[in-house]
Amino acid sequence: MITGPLLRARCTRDEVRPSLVDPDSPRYREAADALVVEAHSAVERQSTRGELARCIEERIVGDRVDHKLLHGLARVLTERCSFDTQAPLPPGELRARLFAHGPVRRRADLSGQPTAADHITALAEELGCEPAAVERGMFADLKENQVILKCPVDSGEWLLQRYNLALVQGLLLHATQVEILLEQPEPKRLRQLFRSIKFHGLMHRIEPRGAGFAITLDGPSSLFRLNTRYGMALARFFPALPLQQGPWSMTAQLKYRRRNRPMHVHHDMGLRSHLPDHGTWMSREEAYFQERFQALDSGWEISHGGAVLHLGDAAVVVPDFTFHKDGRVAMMEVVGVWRRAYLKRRLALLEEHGRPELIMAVSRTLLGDKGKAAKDLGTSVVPWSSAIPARKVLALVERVAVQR
Amino acid sequence: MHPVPATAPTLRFNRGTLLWDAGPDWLEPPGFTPDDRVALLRAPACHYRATVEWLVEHGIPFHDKARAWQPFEDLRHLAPRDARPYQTEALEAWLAAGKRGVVALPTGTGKSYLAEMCMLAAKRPSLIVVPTIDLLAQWHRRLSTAFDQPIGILGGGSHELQAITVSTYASAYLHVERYGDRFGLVIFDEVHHLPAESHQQIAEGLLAPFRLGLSATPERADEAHLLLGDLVGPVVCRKDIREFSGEYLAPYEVVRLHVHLSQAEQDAYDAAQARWRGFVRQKRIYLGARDGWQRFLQVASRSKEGRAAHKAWRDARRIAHSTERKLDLLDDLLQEEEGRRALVFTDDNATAYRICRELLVPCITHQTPAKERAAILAGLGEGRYRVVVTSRVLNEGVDLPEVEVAVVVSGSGSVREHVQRLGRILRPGHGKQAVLYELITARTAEERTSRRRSEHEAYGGGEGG
Repeated sequence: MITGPLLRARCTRDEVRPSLVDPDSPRYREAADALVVEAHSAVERQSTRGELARCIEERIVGDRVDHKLLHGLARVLTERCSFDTQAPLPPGELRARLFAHGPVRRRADLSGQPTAADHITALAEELGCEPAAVERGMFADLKENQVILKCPVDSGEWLLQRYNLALVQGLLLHATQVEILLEQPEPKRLRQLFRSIKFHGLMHRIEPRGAGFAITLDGPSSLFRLNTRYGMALARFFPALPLQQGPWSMTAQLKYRRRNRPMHVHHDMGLRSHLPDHGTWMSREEAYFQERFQALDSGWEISHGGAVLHLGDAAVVVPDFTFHKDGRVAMMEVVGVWRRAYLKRRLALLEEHGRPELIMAVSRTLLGDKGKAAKDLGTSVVPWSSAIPARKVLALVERVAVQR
Repeated sequence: MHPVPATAPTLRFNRGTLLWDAGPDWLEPPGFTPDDRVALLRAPACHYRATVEWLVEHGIPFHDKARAWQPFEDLRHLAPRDARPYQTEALEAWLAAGKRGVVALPTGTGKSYLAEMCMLAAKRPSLIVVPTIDLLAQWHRRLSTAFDQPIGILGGGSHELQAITVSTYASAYLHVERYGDRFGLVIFDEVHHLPAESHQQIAEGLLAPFRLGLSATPERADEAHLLLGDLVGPVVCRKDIREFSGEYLAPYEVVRLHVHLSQAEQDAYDAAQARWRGFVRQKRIYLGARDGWQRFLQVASRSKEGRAAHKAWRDARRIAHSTERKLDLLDDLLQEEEGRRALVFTDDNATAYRICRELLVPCITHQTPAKERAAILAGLGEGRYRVVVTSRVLNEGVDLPEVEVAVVVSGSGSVREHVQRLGRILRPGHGKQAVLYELITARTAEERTSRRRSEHEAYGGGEGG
């Protein structure tokens, strides 16, 4: 994450705009590529973190005025690298053995007392290594003396992409509240988004807005004071947002540089998430089901997605399909990998909150815990093996649909 | 006690806040706000005391599901001793204020014993919040010998919760959502840290009805200490450092020693000073202004000349802070003071490590692992080490009564920092005569810094010897 003095943002009177970089700009690409090359050659030379930083300083940053950007890129780059402590003995042990002789005089004097250098040479002889190795090893555990082992980054373009993400995250550390607008949310990704919200301990409010939703994110004490206590959670949550397929935008209220101002970020800014995209497109089974259901010609209109159902504190249901007929509504969630206990809890919640109109289609093959079949789960569950049975679903829809 | 009806309203703790479930009669205690996310009323956890008092005063039955602690049935002090008169005075003032408030006592006058007295009086599970890892270890050691109880520790890589737990401010901030309901008493050591934005939220997120703040210097330059009244309580007792010297603190002496730069160093220093000051003048920045320094840094980062000016400033400072002559003088002083234990303070890590490497004496910086710090400090206490170097990290309140000599190689002009450094060697010891050496590079900005330091009242009692 980009933090503190490395943050780059344009602050006007009424907003904070992150100074994102264009990953295709030759100027930045060149600098980013140079940084990656520097890191790889540092791996070859087994340089320390401090040596790498000094190389970058001398060869790339120099007196360039865009030093903040370059230092930020270097931070993102080194955060991905792995480092190790290398010394003839654990550094703490080396220190303890040397300090046992102190304090010594700075320079050799007439008394002939040994100096630091003499003690280091003696210890090196005892350990069978060069005095230089003892001197280096003495503080090899300091962060800047750790030796670089691996650099998994190989492209400047990737580095610039990741930098942009890290910059927005860094500003979000100063956020007191975030509002997200999703125009045409795709159910699986929306579900993934809510999972991420819950995982990071955030609280949300959700309201319909046009064809989509507005989701407000903050935490319990946000009610009393604008505070940045949930900034870390918001920052860590953020990479889940660019995974959304449809248009999205985010307005974060920042408490930054002593003022309260919003930051606007949206899908058109070229931000790309590094997270794996679990919530994928509509699966083949679902597409096939939709086709078959329409072919039944039952008068029920089927549409992909639907309103988000609230089940108390943090639990939500994001349906994959919504069925409409004459003002009656039913919904269906296609459950991916599942566990029996999870499904039972889920069904209990639905009952408690009086939402009978939700049907769950659960795959027999994706059952998470072994040995137990999808039996006795209740009537609103449709188990399926290779295809979601359209007729069975239709019968259920007729039975559970409610007037809305 | 009458049984509380099952339908009575319920008070709950929820992640640093209180939730009020009003039940059938829509009762609204003061200080609560509706939270539509959960359809309940919510208040900061620190409203717990006021809320319970209000409910009791109005005879409203309720279920208290907020509090997750039980009072101690039997909290015994293993090593009771006679309290000093001012400690008794402070305890009584705190009790009279309803077990809330700040006590201002100079470093080294037995603040921790006062804290133990307050814990005995309150008989509640207690959280002690301290600013540094060294203090964390020190309080943990002290409380472990004071009470017949396991003592928990949060911070510095440890995470162990007990009915009496010591935590750093940083860890308390992180964990207050989880553990804010476990303590009836909270003690903030060096309470002047509390008004910082994030630290305030520790005080707000704790239910603890009983609160004690300790500090030698509760006042802050930004006036934020005025918030302490709400967060902990008013200042209930205050003692000045001059009331103590000689009786409870070791008598001490301040010796300022000037060193001159070598000709080469002086030339380099003057050139660097001229360079950055020229830039400041040219850009018409007034450094004496409130945000003058901030502006310099901002303007300097925008151009090549500016970056060079900033580098020149750093060079000048480095020359003044760690001139060869200073290191030689330090070497001589340590030789002269042979047989007495000494702490050496530097402003920056680089100088600390340099001294450490050249003189082979252990050093403590923010990077030193907690275990090694403890070993170094124990070594200094037992006499295994005679000298320890530290950068800014040891600035506050760590107890080292064996230390008689302090050498400030370089430091900032902050008055508080200085008083605290002084505090370290002022712990009473048998027949102890403490001395603080301050090394100042003549004809550099350090002369002014030193003057600023000496304006504090601590020197009023000290300079005569």
